[in-house]
Amino acid sequence: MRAVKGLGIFVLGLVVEWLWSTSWTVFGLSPWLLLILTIAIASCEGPVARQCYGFFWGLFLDALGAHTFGAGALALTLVGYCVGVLRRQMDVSSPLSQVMVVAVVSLAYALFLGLAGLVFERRFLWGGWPLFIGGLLYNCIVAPPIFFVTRKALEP
Amino acid sequence: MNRENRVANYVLLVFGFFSIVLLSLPLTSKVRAFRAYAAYIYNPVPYYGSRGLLRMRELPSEVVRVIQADARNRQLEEELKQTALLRSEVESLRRENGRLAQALSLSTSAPGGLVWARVIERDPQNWHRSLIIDAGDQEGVAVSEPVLAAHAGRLGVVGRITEVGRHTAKVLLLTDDLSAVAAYLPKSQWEGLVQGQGSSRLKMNYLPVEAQMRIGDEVATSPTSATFPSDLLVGTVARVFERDPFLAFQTVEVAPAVHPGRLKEVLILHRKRKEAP
Repeated sequence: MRAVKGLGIFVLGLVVEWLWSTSWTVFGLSPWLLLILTIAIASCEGPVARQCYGFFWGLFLDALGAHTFGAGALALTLVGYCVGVLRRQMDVSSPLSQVMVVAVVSLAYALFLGLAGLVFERRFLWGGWPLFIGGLLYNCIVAPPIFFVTRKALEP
Repeated sequence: MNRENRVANYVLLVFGFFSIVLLSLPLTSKVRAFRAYAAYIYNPVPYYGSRGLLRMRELPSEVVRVIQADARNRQLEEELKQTALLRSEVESLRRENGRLAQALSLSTSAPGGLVWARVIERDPQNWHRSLIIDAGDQEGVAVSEPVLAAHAGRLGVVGRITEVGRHTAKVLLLTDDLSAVAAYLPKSQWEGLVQGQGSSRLKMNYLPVEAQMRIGDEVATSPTSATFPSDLLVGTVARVFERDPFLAFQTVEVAPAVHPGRLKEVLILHRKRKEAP
């Protein structure tokens, strides 16, 4: 039952990510939903599950993209691992702390993808400041509701 | 470190190693195969998602169309009921007509059915001579059958079948100079012979000298016509020629009811001749 629920959340995450990035964009911006979901799941799930979610969601992002196949999978696996390790040292129960964690991890995620491009494709993968700042702000705005919904969904 | 954390570290190592392999060797056949496999697994999400989304977007217009179709269906059902009534009346009149004709020992002709056909080709040199339609022997079309067309809610004479192929037939138009049909003026009941001239106009000859006609008078097929049912619209009087004192009849020019250049579909009337005993 737990596996079925996990698979449902996984597929739902893919569908909502696709839907949001294609149909619900605001000024061409959409939040990095799978990143926020990975953080939210890592803050309440076990260590193996959070990395699995991160890896396979990351593969989805890589399959949709044309550059650095594997970078998204590695980045989200690391996000799942690191947030899981650090969750005992930080509080992610209040909306403010959730926004702060998402902001910091989003910065690190963008930097990681850029550097992966620099290492493996000889150029820093960068979408420009408006896209970066807009995406970051959007992530911070939608983070608390996504955390709330994810926690409700994962409740036994 | 508990067991779960150790497993998590191994998982991180495996996923990390795997991701770095994917990143480092993007052009190797195995990585490309894996990439294709991943796309195969994940592509249904955008594919079926976009189809579902399209369906959802089209839903309001689909609902409107279904409601409109339902309203149209109800209207057509009503019309069909009225047509059924009309049909039974026509059938009753036909039987009565048959009985009366039998009593008077007259020959009767009964229509044996209708075939609609599309015009697929015209005589390239003269549009007023002949045309080809997409119904032939397989559709039951036969030589000499009358060809009609709808014009302003009435059936008008077009011509007659002269050649029949497997799925095509040639129609000799009434405007061709080889065509002729017995016709009369319903208003005054004078009878004559309408003949084609190879142009857009027809001529009606053999009208008695005392006949009075006006421009715009209707010309219809005569009950004496061997090919066409009676009272089909042939055209309207377009010009009345001056009387020739050396001729025993007078002539008028007739504008055909159905212009050959505008024809898209025609109706072929099967006629079964029934001789009265």
